Amino acid sequence: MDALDRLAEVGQDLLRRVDATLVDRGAPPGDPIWPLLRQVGALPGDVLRFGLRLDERALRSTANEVRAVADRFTHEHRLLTAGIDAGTWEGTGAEAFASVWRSLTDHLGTTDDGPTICGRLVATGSYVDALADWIAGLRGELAEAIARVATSTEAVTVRSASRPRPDAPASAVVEAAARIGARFLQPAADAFTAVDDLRARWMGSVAELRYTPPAVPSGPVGGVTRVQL
Amino acid sequence: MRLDDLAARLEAAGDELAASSTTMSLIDPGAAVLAADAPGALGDLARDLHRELTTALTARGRESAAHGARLADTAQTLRLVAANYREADS
Repeated sequence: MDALDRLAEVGQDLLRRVDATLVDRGAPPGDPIWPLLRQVGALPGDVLRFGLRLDERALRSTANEVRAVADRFTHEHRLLTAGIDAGTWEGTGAEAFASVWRSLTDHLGTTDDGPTICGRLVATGSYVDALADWIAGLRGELAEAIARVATSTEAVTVRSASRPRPDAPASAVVEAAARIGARFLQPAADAFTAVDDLRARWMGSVAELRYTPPAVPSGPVGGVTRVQL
Repeated sequence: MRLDDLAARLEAAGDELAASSTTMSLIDPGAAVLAADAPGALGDLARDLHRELTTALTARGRESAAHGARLADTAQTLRLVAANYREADS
């Protein structure tokens, strides 16, 4: 349970009132909330519900599972590399086979390599971690928003509007709802930008890898062949 | 190391890669972890993110499966070569 989970109830209660005010009475003309509403395409309460359902831990677990596969493949790479060195086969056929073996082993790669199967797995693990970081960032921002606005003057104004005899005039309630709403919509708008950065950083590194077979040496057949059968 | 031992090593690696290609499809945590049924642009964003995640994981699975098959084919070729050498030797 993180800060957002702990503050969820307070935030949901407040944003239910904020959403109702925005839906019933709108927001002041020219208020900063308007472009945010257009960009995010959701109400502040929707943003909070969205944040609450994002599962950072599931993505961390996925990243670890991908890296575990990379570790197993690196082990296979080690065994294959040792295998070719231990081969007892000489001659034209052996040279051709060694070329294929090296190409297959190189394509498998290790966790330190880039454009290899293992390298792609490591990059995918890091990409999933970056997604989890994105979630953690948004959830943290939303938790901070709740903590900051829950006891603010605007929150008192919005809550007072539901009383039989409201303390504040209707325009003040609308302004307060818009200000609180913007505080929750801004992290969501920032999250859209962050996703663009995340894609620019990772999409190339996790694209599907193609295998290019080696040009097998085609020297004259013949000579001496030694092989351990 | 004998040719049959080399073939066995290739087969073992091929099996590991082929098995992991299935694992990759099971690793996908699902769209719900990204709140993909959220309304509006947030839901659109979440669905796009999950589709991209699935594409990356599927690519890893395909790479593993294809390379597993290459390793298995090479092992089979190597066994044939060993059999031919044995025949020539006898």
